[in-house]
Amino acid sequence: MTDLMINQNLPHLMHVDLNSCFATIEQQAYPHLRGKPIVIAAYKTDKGCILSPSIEAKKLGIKTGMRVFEAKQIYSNIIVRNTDPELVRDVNSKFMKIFQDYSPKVIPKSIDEAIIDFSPVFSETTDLITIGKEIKSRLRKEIGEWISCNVGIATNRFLAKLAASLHKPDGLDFIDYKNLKQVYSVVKLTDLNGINIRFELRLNMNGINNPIDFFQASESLLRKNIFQSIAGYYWYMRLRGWEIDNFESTRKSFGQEYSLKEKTKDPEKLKKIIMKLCEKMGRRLRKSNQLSSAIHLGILYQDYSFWHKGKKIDQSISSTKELFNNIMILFFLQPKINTVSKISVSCFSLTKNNNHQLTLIDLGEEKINKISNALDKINDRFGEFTMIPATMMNMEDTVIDRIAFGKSGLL
Amino acid sequence: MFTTIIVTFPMENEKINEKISVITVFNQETGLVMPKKIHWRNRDYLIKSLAYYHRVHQGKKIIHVFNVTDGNLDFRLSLDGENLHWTLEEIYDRSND
Repeated sequence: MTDLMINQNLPHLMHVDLNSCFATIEQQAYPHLRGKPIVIAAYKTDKGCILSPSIEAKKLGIKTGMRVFEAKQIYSNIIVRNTDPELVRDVNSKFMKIFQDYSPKVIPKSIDEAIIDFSPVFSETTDLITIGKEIKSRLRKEIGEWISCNVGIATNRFLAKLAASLHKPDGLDFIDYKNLKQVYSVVKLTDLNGINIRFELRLNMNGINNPIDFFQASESLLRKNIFQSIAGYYWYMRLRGWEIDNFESTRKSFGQEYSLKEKTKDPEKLKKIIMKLCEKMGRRLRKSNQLSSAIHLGILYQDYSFWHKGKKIDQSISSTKELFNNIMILFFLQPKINTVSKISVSCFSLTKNNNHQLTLIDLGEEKINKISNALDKINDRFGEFTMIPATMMNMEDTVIDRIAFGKSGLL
Repeated sequence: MFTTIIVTFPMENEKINEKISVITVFNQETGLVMPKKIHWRNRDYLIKSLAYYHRVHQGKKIIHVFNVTDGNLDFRLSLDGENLHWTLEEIYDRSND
């Protein structure tokens, strides 16, 4: 392949990333938290995992993924709060509405990130820097004065995300063919989205020590020697500002997981948790109007050993009861009884519900589906978990609502 | 008029969940409803600003949540869209920080 030029088109993509999303939103709603180092953690206990440190906490060296006790070692007066999922979802929907004022093509990337594709409305007079500034100001005015974001503008998603990471917090950066090499000269390989330490090592072993080396590497070196797949060609294009990440993936599975606050080996307690996870998973599956014909159970034990098992089901199912019954079959296949610290359930092999095949022998499947749909309607009307299976009794505070990381299509 | 009484609250947000009396103002130009004064446990609190407003769905019922401050105390108030009752959900004393 002959050397491909850098994409010299006018940038039409904008990546917007809310700064310290969960913590900033909490500071917006509770003014006493503003300007203070705070962290949002899964649990307030010492072993709770930090999901989002505030900008002030980050300045002290507190990072996402640390434990609460580690943050306390850095700053003993750190304020620890839990996520308020409803509040975060509300901010997410408000900023998505603002973005949709500028283009009909807004792609959510996660709860705190989105890409605005201006191609349907783009002309040579479109000034994305001015629009970027306007969006920052509207977020402050229409959502809250403490809300800030990073804006990155470029010709592809990869460079737009890189631009949005250059000056945190509250930055606005523009990458095009004129400043591309200059940007690559000031960032590290691991600053590039998709390059982790393992990939960095692989690149280093092939003489690529920085983004400039990476950019200058030939397509054949990347494809044949380093990545040994089409991924090398994708990187070659991506680094030059050509779009190759604009495919929309479809959902392949639904899953729920829960880290136990009180670790246990009691099958009765674990059964209740599995039921609640299946109910949450089933609700999402049914809302998407899909059926599943395969399930999976994963269990992490207190001694950090892990066991998992999946199975295909000869019918397509969606009711909580059917999901639960099948997951419990897997549960009893565990080779040992050990104290459990984390449980995850998932269902996959999804098909649309419209062509549901009826069985010749009546197994009561239709009845189950009707009951399931009726329960969903009651819960839609009167609130989540208004009607629950008896197995789930007395566990209101277990498996609480959380915001998932990653794509926010089904929050 | 208002009398200032110093009350101390814990550092953590304190869950209250008590019914309260609220005076609100509706601005027809902006379309916004703003709690202006709340009466709780025989005291009045004058609200200075609205930090955040959002709605929470409890099934088909809508709860309007107002995070407000009087300058010293932050309050989380909720208005039940069905019966229009106000609840003080949480309180936090900023002067303790």
